[in-house]
Amino acid sequence: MDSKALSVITSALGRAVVLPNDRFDSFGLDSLEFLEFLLEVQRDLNVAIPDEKIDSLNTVQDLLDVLR
Amino acid sequence: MNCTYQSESWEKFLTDAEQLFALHWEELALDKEFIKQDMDCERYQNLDKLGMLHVTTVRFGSALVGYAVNFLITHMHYKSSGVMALADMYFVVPEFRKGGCGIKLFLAMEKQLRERGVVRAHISCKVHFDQQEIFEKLGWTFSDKTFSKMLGK
Repeated sequence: MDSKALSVITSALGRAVVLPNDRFDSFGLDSLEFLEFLLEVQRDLNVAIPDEKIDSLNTVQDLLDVLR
Repeated sequence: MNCTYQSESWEKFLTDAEQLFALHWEELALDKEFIKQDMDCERYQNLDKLGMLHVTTVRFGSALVGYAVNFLITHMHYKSSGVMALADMYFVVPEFRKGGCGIKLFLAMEKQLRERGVVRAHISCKVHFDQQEIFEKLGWTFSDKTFSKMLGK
């Protein structure tokens, strides 16, 4: 799941490479872009991220952990 | 370090909020030449004591970097329907607007309002700082349009 999820995250961020330790605030996404990114990841992986988990999403690894 | 999202008393919030109020007003207020920022802090404090105010803050360490303030009322048209929240103001300092800080603030606010028994919340945004897409993606319904007109001076 992690490698597929990382691939989806990388694509959704429009990046060639994304590392688990990368922080979301380093990608320069504004609030709407961040929300659209999360929606795209959920759609592509067919999963739902509970609202209460979103405030813990600071790094790519945090998101991978939630998607596990 | 990561931002944290919590509810706070008006009194605690105010200690750090005044310089943010100035930034907030500068960025978003309308008709600034006629209507100056002049927060009635005593009134906010009284509303908080009455349980009619809810303050959600964003802190980076101990630094206040954002907030959402709601009035909690029993609506006069729907007095048996429960408590409703009317957003008074929300703001995140520009340096913290990346990485979903605003989204996390709204989600934290919503969760806290639910926990306080709020049955419906109302929020608005400035036309020149439109947040409609964000609110709709967060599940809010676009329900009203607001107009203003300077009548005095």
